Amino acid sequence: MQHDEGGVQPIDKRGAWLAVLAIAIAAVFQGMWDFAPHFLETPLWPGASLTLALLLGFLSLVAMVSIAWLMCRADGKGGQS
Amino acid sequence: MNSSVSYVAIGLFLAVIAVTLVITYWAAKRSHTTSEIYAAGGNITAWQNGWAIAGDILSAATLFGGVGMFYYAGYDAMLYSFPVLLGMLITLGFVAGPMRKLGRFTFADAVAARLSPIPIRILAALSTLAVLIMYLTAQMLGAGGLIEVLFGIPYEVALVIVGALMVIYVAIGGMLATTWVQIIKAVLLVTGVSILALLVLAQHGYSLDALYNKASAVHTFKDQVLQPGGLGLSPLDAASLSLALAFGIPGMPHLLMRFFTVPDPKTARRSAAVAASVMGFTYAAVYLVIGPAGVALITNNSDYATASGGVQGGTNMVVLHLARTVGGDVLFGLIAAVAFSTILAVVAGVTVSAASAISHDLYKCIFARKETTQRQEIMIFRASCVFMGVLGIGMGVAFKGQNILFLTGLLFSIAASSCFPVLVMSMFWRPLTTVGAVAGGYVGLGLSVALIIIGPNVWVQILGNPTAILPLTQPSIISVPAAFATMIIVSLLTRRARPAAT
Repeated sequence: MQHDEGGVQPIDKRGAWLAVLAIAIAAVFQGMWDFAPHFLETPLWPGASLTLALLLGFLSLVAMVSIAWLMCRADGKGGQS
Repeated sequence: MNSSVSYVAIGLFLAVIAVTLVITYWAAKRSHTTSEIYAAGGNITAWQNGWAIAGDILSAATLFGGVGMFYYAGYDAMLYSFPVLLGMLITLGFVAGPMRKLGRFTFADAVAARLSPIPIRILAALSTLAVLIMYLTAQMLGAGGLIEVLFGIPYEVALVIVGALMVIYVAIGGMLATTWVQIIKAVLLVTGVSILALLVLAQHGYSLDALYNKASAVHTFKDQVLQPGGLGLSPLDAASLSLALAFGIPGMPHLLMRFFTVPDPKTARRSAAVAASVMGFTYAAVYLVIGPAGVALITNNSDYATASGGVQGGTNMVVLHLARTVGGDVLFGLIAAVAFSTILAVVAGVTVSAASAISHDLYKCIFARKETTQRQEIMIFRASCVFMGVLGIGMGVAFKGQNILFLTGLLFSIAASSCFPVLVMSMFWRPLTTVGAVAGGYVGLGLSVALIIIGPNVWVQILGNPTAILPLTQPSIISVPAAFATMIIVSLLTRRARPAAT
């Protein structure tokens, strides 16, 4: 029933690794949420309301956006086009 | 609430309608062929498409629901944003480029590229319509309630206004009008959250610590409001929710369709990066500034408190109360206009995709077996838009006041468990057979429905049973692996029969 296999797409290795990195960042962050909440509750300095959870949340968002642009840098350099 | 309806809000509401109708008129003059109607002729730039994708994904739930959830559950609200952004990266890394290369107009085009087209198109069209009708219903219910509160318009009239506008945009202006409605919405949303966040920070000497101190002081969770755990989700439930959102986004047919509006795969990928940037900025503003500000400035605020100690209009209205508190009527009006344009943009995106599934996948490729003219196909597309409009209004009326939490869970589960596995496996896994793809797709679809029914949102909250058979609110952690496993096993079992069947 399969018509042809010409439609199978090559995986862009750089993009795939970066996607795996993004998944790993999300998994680690969410893992800490569930298994190390006390670590995330650590104040950034004594008496601060700013906690590691908030800092890491911000850094994770920045990391995701940065990875998105790194994925695009592969285009035209031997990556997916 | 009607007494507090602002003239600025009504003025901006009318302005949004006027501007979007002018755009539709402009787009209609440029939309004559199926390529122009379904995919804006493939002439949208990366930046335009990126903003439009953000406009498609960032629904009213992001701003109103996100700030509202932060108000009662604290920092855990972020669990609903982070996986969505991850889903955009998965889309960028694996889906956007190949989608643009393989498909023409719909998600089914891409999955049918190398598989037997009829059964796979039927599955893709069914999954598409199931996801989009549920999405439309959830959006219409939210739209009716929100517009009723914001502008003092009765619920049913609000539904008719939204339904009529979405039919006009899509049926007349096609994908080009839909794209610009989504771009305008995204720009309004980013402008609104930026101004709101800046005003909040200005009130606290641009010190996040001062803002967070205030939020911690007034919330019932105290310090815990800025720490994980407020939603009380089990690790398994949280993981399942994340899986549904992260794999549901690259399986959303209306989002995937946006990649056909750009000229090439490279532009498709770049547009996904633009969308991720807009989403990342919005999430940072909503969850790190506006959410805590809602807690700090609206909790115990006598202007917005109800007699029972709640918030006027419910927690989804916290962002509007906050806008009025820090920016007066003008900012309230702007955020109200953001809400209205958000609703229009999302329902327009859903409608163009659902109507395309009917006219292109079901009518042209299955019933007419491609023996049809462009004129007939466009007629069917326009009739499908009207059908979706009437259906959306009808569903909005039928489900008024009912708990539809299960619908949102179900649509993400189907997208993650049926659309996404079929798409990814058909693009990248050479041994996949049509039988395997179809079996896996239906297993994902069927399991999503069955497991949601026996889960807490339906089994307990709607059917009134004391405990759920499956304690997960979101079943994707079961249905996604089951769909992939079925595809692999059935493909390997049926692969030997391939030469005889070809």
